[in-house]
Amino acid sequence: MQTINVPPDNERIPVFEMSPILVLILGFVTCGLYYFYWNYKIAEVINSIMERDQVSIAAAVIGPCCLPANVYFFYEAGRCLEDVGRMTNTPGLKDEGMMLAIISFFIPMVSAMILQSHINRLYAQNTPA
Amino acid sequence: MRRFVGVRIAAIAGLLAILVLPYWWIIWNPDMESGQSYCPVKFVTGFPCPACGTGRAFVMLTHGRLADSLSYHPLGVAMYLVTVLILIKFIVELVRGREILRGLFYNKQVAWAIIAAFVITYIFTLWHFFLSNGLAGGLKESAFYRMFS
Repeated sequence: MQTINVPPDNERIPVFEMSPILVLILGFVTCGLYYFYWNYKIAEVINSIMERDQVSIAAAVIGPCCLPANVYFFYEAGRCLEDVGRMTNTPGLKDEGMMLAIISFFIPMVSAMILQSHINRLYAQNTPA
Repeated sequence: MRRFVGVRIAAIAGLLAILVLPYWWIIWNPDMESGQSYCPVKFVTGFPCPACGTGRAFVMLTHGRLADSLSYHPLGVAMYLVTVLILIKFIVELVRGREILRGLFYNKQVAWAIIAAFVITYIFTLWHFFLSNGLAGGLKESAFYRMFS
Protein backbone atom coordinates (compact mmCIF):
# COMPACT_ATOMS: atom_id res chain seq x y z
CA MET A 1 0.00 0.00 0.00
CA GLN A 2 1.30 3.46 -0.93
CA THR A 3 2.09 5.69 2.05
CA ILE A 4 3.16 9.30 2.37
CA ASN A 5 6.62 10.07 3.72
CA VAL A 6 6.36 13.32 5.69
CA PRO A 7 5.54 14.33 8.30
CA PRO A 8 6.63 11.20 10.22
CA ASP A 9 3.38 11.22 12.20
CA ASN A 10 1.44 10.49 9.01
CA GLU A 11 3.52 7.59 7.71
CA ARG A 12 0.91 4.92 8.32
CA ILE A 13 -1.89 6.78 6.61
CA PRO A 14 -2.91 5.42 3.19
CA VAL A 15 -3.00 8.05 0.46
CA PHE A 16 -6.49 8.86 -0.68
CA GLU A 17 -6.32 12.38 -2.03
CA MET A 18 -8.74 13.60 -4.66
CA SER A 19 -10.79 16.63 -5.55
CA PRO A 20 -14.15 16.81 -3.72
CA ILE A 21 -15.77 17.71 -7.05
CA LEU A 22 -14.36 14.52 -8.54
CA VAL A 23 -15.96 12.56 -5.68
CA LEU A 24 -19.31 14.04 -6.69
CA ILE A 25 -18.81 13.47 -10.41
CA LEU A 26 -17.58 9.88 -10.00
CA GLY A 27 -20.54 9.19 -7.71
CA PHE A 28 -23.02 10.27 -10.35
CA VAL A 29 -21.16 8.80 -13.34
CA THR A 30 -21.06 5.38 -11.67
CA CYS A 31 -24.66 5.75 -10.45
CA GLY A 32 -23.50 5.61 -6.84
CA LEU A 33 -21.25 2.53 -7.12
CA TYR A 34 -18.17 4.67 -6.50
CA TYR A 35 -19.35 5.50 -2.98
CA PHE A 36 -18.82 1.88 -1.92
CA TYR A 37 -15.14 2.24 -2.73
CA TRP A 38 -14.95 5.79 -1.39
CA ASN A 39 -16.50 4.85 1.97
CA TYR A 40 -14.14 1.87 2.23
CA LYS A 41 -11.05 3.97 1.57
CA ILE A 42 -12.11 6.78 3.89
CA ALA A 43 -12.83 4.28 6.67
CA GLU A 44 -9.34 2.88 6.14
CA VAL A 45 -7.76 6.37 6.29
CA ILE A 46 -9.72 7.32 9.41
CA ASN A 47 -8.84 4.12 11.25
CA SER A 48 -5.19 4.83 10.42
CA ILE A 49 -5.44 8.41 11.68
CA MET A 50 -7.07 7.35 14.93
CA GLU A 51 -4.75 4.34 15.35
CA ARG A 52 -7.77 2.25 16.30
CA ASP A 53 -10.97 0.95 14.71
CA GLN A 54 -12.95 4.18 14.84
CA VAL A 55 -15.23 3.34 11.91
CA SER A 56 -16.64 -0.11 11.20
CA ILE A 57 -15.54 -0.92 7.64
CA ALA A 58 -18.53 -3.23 7.17
CA ALA A 59 -20.93 -0.43 8.18
CA ALA A 60 -19.04 2.00 5.93
CA VAL A 61 -19.56 -0.12 2.82
CA ILE A 62 -23.23 -0.76 3.63
CA GLY A 63 -23.60 3.04 3.93
CA PRO A 64 -24.35 3.84 0.27
CA CYS A 65 -27.25 1.38 0.37
CA CYS A 66 -28.51 2.10 3.85
CA LEU A 67 -29.16 5.62 5.13
CA PRO A 68 -28.73 4.90 8.88
CA ALA A 69 -25.40 3.16 8.24
CA ASN A 70 -24.29 6.14 6.17
CA VAL A 71 -25.29 8.57 8.92
CA TYR A 72 -23.32 6.47 11.43
CA PHE A 73 -20.34 6.41 9.05
CA PHE A 74 -20.27 10.19 8.62
CA TYR A 75 -20.80 10.77 12.34
CA GLU A 76 -17.83 8.58 13.28
CA ALA A 77 -15.70 9.91 10.43
CA GLY A 78 -16.48 13.52 11.35
CA ARG A 79 -15.40 12.89 14.92
CA CYS A 80 -11.83 12.28 13.78
CA LEU A 81 -11.50 15.69 12.13
CA GLU A 82 -10.16 17.23 15.31
CA ASP A 83 -7.23 14.80 15.05
CA VAL A 84 -6.81 15.70 11.39
CA GLY A 85 -6.67 19.36 12.45
CA ARG A 86 -4.04 18.54 15.06
CA MET A 87 -1.94 16.56 12.59
CA THR A 88 -2.11 19.30 9.95
CA ASN A 89 -1.66 22.25 12.33
CA THR A 90 -5.19 23.45 11.64
CA PRO A 91 -6.52 24.26 15.13
CA GLY A 92 -9.74 25.60 13.62
CA LEU A 93 -10.72 22.10 12.51
CA LYS A 94 -13.01 20.60 15.14
CA ASP A 95 -15.20 17.53 15.59
CA GLU A 96 -17.78 17.82 12.80
CA GLY A 97 -19.43 14.44 13.36
CA MET A 98 -22.89 15.78 14.12
CA MET A 99 -22.87 18.26 11.25
CA LEU A 100 -21.75 15.64 8.70
CA ALA A 101 -24.32 13.16 10.05
CA ILE A 102 -27.16 15.68 9.67
CA ILE A 103 -26.07 16.70 6.16
CA SER A 104 -25.66 13.05 5.14
CA PHE A 105 -29.25 12.40 6.16
CA PHE A 106 -30.40 14.72 3.37
CA ILE A 107 -27.51 14.97 0.85
CA PRO A 108 -24.79 12.39 1.55
CA MET A 109 -22.78 13.58 -1.47
CA VAL A 110 -22.20 16.94 0.21
CA SER A 111 -20.98 15.24 3.41
CA ALA A 112 -18.62 13.18 1.28
CA MET A 113 -17.23 16.30 -0.40
CA ILE A 114 -16.73 18.10 2.93
CA LEU A 115 -15.01 15.08 4.46
CA GLN A 116 -12.78 14.56 1.42
CA SER A 117 -11.72 18.23 1.47
CA HIS A 118 -10.65 17.87 5.12
CA ILE A 119 -8.88 14.56 4.51
CA ASN A 120 -6.96 16.19 1.63
CA ARG A 121 -5.29 18.47 4.20
CA LEU A 122 -3.27 15.47 5.36
CA TYR A 123 -1.56 15.25 2.00
CA ALA A 124 -1.44 18.95 1.10
CA GLN A 125 1.64 19.41 3.31
CA ASN A 126 3.55 16.96 1.10
CA THR A 127 2.74 18.64 -2.20
CA PRO A 128 5.87 20.34 -3.62
CA ALA A 129 5.61 24.14 -3.73
CA MET B 1 -19.38 4.27 29.81
CA ARG B 2 -22.04 6.96 29.35
CA ARG B 3 -21.17 7.18 25.66
CA PHE B 4 -21.23 3.36 25.32
CA VAL B 5 -24.76 3.21 26.73
CA GLY B 6 -25.96 6.35 24.91
CA VAL B 7 -24.74 5.16 21.51
CA ARG B 8 -26.39 1.77 21.97
CA ILE B 9 -29.71 3.22 23.10
CA ALA B 10 -29.71 5.57 20.09
CA ALA B 11 -28.75 2.69 17.78
CA ILE B 12 -31.49 0.41 19.18
CA ALA B 13 -34.09 3.17 18.71
CA GLY B 14 -32.88 3.82 15.15
CA LEU B 15 -32.82 0.14 14.22
CA LEU B 16 -36.30 -0.43 15.65
CA ALA B 17 -37.53 2.49 13.54
CA ILE B 18 -35.93 0.96 10.42
CA LEU B 19 -37.57 -2.40 11.12
CA VAL B 20 -41.02 -1.16 12.10
CA LEU B 21 -41.72 2.12 10.26
CA PRO B 22 -41.77 0.54 6.76
CA TYR B 23 -44.99 -1.24 7.80
CA TRP B 24 -46.81 2.11 7.90
CA TRP B 25 -44.98 3.73 5.00
CA ILE B 26 -47.30 2.31 2.35
CA ILE B 27 -50.28 3.58 4.36
CA TRP B 28 -48.81 7.10 4.60
CA ASN B 29 -47.62 7.01 1.01
CA PRO B 30 -50.06 4.96 -1.11
CA ASP B 31 -48.29 6.00 -4.37
CA MET B 32 -45.10 4.41 -3.13
CA GLU B 33 -45.00 1.72 -5.82
CA SER B 34 -45.48 4.11 -8.75
CA GLY B 35 -44.40 7.48 -7.33
CA GLN B 36 -41.23 9.53 -7.81
CA SER B 37 -38.06 8.00 -6.40
CA TYR B 38 -36.26 9.93 -3.65
CA CYS B 39 -32.87 8.76 -4.93
CA PRO B 40 -30.64 11.68 -6.04
CA VAL B 41 -28.71 9.44 -8.45
CA LYS B 42 -31.92 8.26 -10.13
CA PHE B 43 -33.16 11.84 -10.25
CA VAL B 44 -30.00 13.17 -11.92
CA THR B 45 -28.98 10.28 -14.17
CA GLY B 46 -32.30 8.54 -14.77
CA PHE B 47 -30.73 5.18 -13.87
CA PRO B 48 -31.27 3.31 -10.61
CA CYS B 49 -28.48 3.29 -8.02
CA PRO B 50 -27.37 0.13 -6.15
CA ALA B 51 -29.69 1.07 -3.27
CA CYS B 52 -32.80 1.82 -5.32
CA GLY B 53 -35.64 -0.41 -4.17
CA THR B 54 -34.30 -1.29 -0.72
CA GLY B 55 -36.88 0.90 1.03
CA ARG B 56 -39.76 -0.63 -0.94
CA ALA B 57 -38.26 -4.10 -0.36
CA PHE B 58 -38.40 -3.43 3.41
CA VAL B 59 -42.01 -2.21 3.14
CA MET B 60 -43.08 -5.35 1.25
CA LEU B 61 -41.26 -7.56 3.71
CA THR B 62 -43.04 -6.04 6.70
CA HIS B 63 -46.32 -6.84 4.92
CA GLY B 64 -45.24 -10.44 4.35
CA ARG B 65 -44.91 -10.01 0.56
CA LEU B 66 -41.61 -11.83 0.16
CA ALA B 67 -41.73 -12.17 -3.65
CA ASP B 68 -42.48 -8.46 -4.09
CA SER B 69 -39.69 -7.61 -1.69
CA LEU B 70 -37.19 -9.68 -3.69
CA SER B 71 -38.37 -8.11 -6.93
CA TYR B 72 -37.72 -4.58 -5.59
CA HIS B 73 -34.25 -5.45 -4.32
CA PRO B 74 -32.79 -8.96 -4.16
CA LEU B 75 -30.73 -8.04 -1.08
CA GLY B 76 -33.65 -6.42 0.78
CA VAL B 77 -34.41 -9.57 2.78
CA ALA B 78 -30.72 -10.07 3.63
CA MET B 79 -30.41 -6.43 4.72
CA TYR B 80 -33.51 -6.76 6.90
CA LEU B 81 -32.08 -9.87 8.58
CA VAL B 82 -28.73 -8.14 9.11
CA THR B 83 -30.57 -5.19 10.69
CA VAL B 84 -32.30 -7.62 13.08
CA LEU B 85 -28.94 -9.21 13.94
CA ILE B 86 -27.35 -5.81 14.61
CA LEU B 87 -30.32 -4.92 16.83
CA ILE B 88 -29.80 -8.14 18.83
CA LYS B 89 -26.05 -7.39 19.03
CA PHE B 90 -26.69 -3.93 20.52
CA ILE B 91 -29.26 -5.25 23.01
CA VAL B 92 -26.82 -7.96 24.17
CA GLU B 93 -24.04 -5.35 24.44
CA LEU B 94 -26.26 -3.09 26.49
CA VAL B 95 -27.10 -5.94 28.88
CA ARG B 96 -23.54 -7.28 29.17
CA GLY B 97 -21.86 -3.86 29.16
CA ARG B 98 -19.21 -4.87 26.62
CA GLU B 99 -18.84 -5.02 22.86
CA ILE B 100 -19.39 -8.32 21.01
CA LEU B 101 -18.69 -9.48 17.42
CA ARG B 102 -16.23 -6.61 17.00
CA GLY B 103 -14.00 -8.59 14.64
CA LEU B 104 -16.88 -9.16 12.21
CA PHE B 105 -17.78 -5.49 11.87
CA TYR B 106 -14.20 -4.30 11.40
CA ASN B 107 -13.18 -7.07 9.02
CA LYS B 108 -12.01 -6.02 5.54
CA GLN B 109 -12.95 -9.37 3.99
CA VAL B 110 -16.53 -8.89 5.21
CA ALA B 111 -16.51 -5.39 3.71
CA TRP B 112 -15.33 -6.67 0.32
CA ALA B 113 -17.93 -9.46 0.41
CA ILE B 114 -20.66 -6.84 0.99
CA ILE B 115 -19.33 -4.70 -1.88
CA ALA B 116 -19.22 -7.76 -4.17
CA ALA B 117 -22.81 -8.70 -3.26
CA PHE B 118 -24.08 -5.20 -4.07
CA VAL B 119 -22.06 -4.90 -7.29
CA ILE B 120 -23.28 -8.29 -8.59
CA THR B 121 -26.87 -7.44 -7.66
CA TYR B 122 -26.49 -4.05 -9.30
CA ILE B 123 -25.27 -5.57 -12.57
CA PHE B 124 -28.44 -7.71 -12.69
CA THR B 125 -30.59 -4.70 -11.76
CA LEU B 126 -29.09 -2.62 -14.58
CA TRP B 127 -29.42 -5.51 -17.04
CA HIS B 128 -33.09 -5.83 -16.13
CA PHE B 129 -33.52 -2.04 -16.34
CA PHE B 130 -31.97 -1.87 -19.82
CA LEU B 131 -34.08 -4.79 -21.03
CA SER B 132 -37.25 -3.07 -19.79
CA ASN B 133 -36.47 0.58 -20.64
CA GLY B 134 -33.46 0.65 -22.94
CA LEU B 135 -30.70 3.25 -22.65
CA ALA B 136 -32.93 5.99 -24.05
CA GLY B 137 -35.66 5.17 -21.52
CA GLY B 138 -33.24 5.76 -18.66
CA LEU B 139 -31.82 8.96 -20.12
CA LYS B 140 -35.31 10.37 -20.64
CA GLU B 141 -35.91 10.13 -16.90
CA SER B 142 -32.78 12.14 -16.05
CA ALA B 143 -33.00 15.66 -14.71
CA PHE B 144 -30.81 16.96 -17.56
CA TYR B 145 -33.12 15.54 -20.22
CA ARG B 146 -36.17 17.02 -18.52
CA MET B 147 -34.38 20.35 -18.11
CA PHE B 148 -33.40 20.71 -21.75
CA SER B 149 -36.25 18.96 -23.54
